[in-house]
Amino acid sequence: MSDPALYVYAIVPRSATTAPGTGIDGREVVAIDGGDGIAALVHRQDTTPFEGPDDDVRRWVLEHSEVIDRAWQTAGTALPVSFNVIVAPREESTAEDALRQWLRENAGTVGDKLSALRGHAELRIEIGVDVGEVTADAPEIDHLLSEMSSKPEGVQRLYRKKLETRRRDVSDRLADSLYPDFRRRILQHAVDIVENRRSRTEEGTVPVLDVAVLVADAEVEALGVELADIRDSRGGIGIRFLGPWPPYSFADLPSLAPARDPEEA
Amino acid sequence: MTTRSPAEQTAGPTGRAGLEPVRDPRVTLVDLVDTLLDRGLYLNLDVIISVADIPLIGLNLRATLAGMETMLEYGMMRDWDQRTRAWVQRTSARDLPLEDDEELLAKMAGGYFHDDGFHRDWRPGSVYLTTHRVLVFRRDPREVLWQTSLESIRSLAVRPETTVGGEKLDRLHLLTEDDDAVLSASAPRRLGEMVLQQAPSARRELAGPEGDHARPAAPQADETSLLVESHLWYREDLAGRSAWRGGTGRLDEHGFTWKNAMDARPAIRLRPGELSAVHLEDAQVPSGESTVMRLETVSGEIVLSGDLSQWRNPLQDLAARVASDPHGKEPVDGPRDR
Repeated sequence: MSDPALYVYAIVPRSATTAPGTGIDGREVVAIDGGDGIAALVHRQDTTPFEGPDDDVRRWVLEHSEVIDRAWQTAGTALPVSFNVIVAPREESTAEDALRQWLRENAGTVGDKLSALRGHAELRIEIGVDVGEVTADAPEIDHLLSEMSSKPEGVQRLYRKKLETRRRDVSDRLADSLYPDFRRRILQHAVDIVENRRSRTEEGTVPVLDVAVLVADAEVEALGVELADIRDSRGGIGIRFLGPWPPYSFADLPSLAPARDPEEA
Repeated sequence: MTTRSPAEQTAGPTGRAGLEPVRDPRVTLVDLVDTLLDRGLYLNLDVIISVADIPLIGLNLRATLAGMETMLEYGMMRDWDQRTRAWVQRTSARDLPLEDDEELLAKMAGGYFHDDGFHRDWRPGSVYLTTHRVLVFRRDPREVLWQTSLESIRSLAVRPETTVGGEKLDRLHLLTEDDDAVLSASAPRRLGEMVLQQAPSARRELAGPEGDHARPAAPQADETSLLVESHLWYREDLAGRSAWRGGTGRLDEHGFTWKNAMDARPAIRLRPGELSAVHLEDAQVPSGESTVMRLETVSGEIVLSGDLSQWRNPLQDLAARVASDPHGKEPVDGPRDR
């Protein structure tokens, strides 16, 4: 057998498997039917994970996400599988048999999860405050500025550093005080939330909140209105609102049948 | 579900302009990549995944990462399969040097009370139990703050101590051949039991009198006076449901905060004047507690649960305080370095 392993894109209802299209590097995506109305979308390959330059990884991840997205839009639900998850053959069974068995053993849990996610989308919300704008009228910054103006140039340089630190502190305290209210308002529209750990901050802004939320389709518009209100509640607030995406961040299953491994039985 | 255009704003059902989420991959590619590298399902069967160039086989990696710290805290390493253990050993060995045949059994936050007759202070780090040693290790800057071999431990006791801050905390006392060490730990009794199981000659010392000399409370991140800090459950409201989440409640002169370890910032922040009343009542809580505390605040009601005995009075004091310091700001000339 030349292609003994299976690269997995998503676990989906069988209704989403009619036209899975192509995946990473144009490979043909096929469905492995596990019975009980659920299937896995995969392509056949060997056991080598995708590794390469960043640009290639970005393209692969996008192609990976497109397969999930198509199935999700078709069926209204999907369990996205992470990038580079490859089912290897076992000594006693092929990869296909192993995956089929996994689908059968976890059919109940997976089916429940697919139902719970139906009609919901993942949205990403990043809120930050603009350091320059929100510290413009802070008394302690004014105080420093007026002190600074009377100092010689060499000392002013030190003051500028101090000023920068102080501006960030003021912004950070503001972010602390805004977070609980923003979180509460967003959660009124969301059924689940996960904080994003890899928060990237633009130059000159302090992040207040960076989350992925799971939102019912019908509630997305109301969330957008809430975010507009938040943005307009004071100056200096910037919001990135991304999606709707398949529920990438909400694919966790409560408990799975344990992987059986003859070596450690 | 149709693909929406990346338009910025649309008029909502109420006629108010709402933000429209952006779906265009040219805008979201970086975020998509992050999400798909970090999230999504892992199948717990023979799967090959590659993380930071290390191919891992047959691991539910994300569950492993999330569960590792908790499992270590409970000393449940023995329950793991050989490959997972080997991987954890490799991962932790990057910080903590282990001998070839030495295996990590448990790890939790803690510290060592350093007393050389001149300096008396808590040195915070992590307490490790291995198949050979008990040690307190600090990662940054990297230093073994204290250690003892399991063989040299003679006796062990967990004693409550009242700290200078008035808090009552259990401390782990280890009498070794040449040392009488006092350790703090996030779960001192559990740690004590685990050490007793591992150390061949250690015996349990009968609980002695309470420590006669108050040690300072374990050092805090900042200098504000801490009144109470402990684990609390918070019932967070979502659309159509609510969820109990665990986190750390903290009360100091600036007010009350509650923060879950995974959140970027505290999800509750009550300054003096923002809390108006505290009620305790019986209720069934999934965590097993039978009492909840309702906080009436300016922005609505907050429901907490946990060991509430130590919280009731200080929070009622907070509710009685007026908003003398509405912004919780420090004085203009009182910088607090971060």
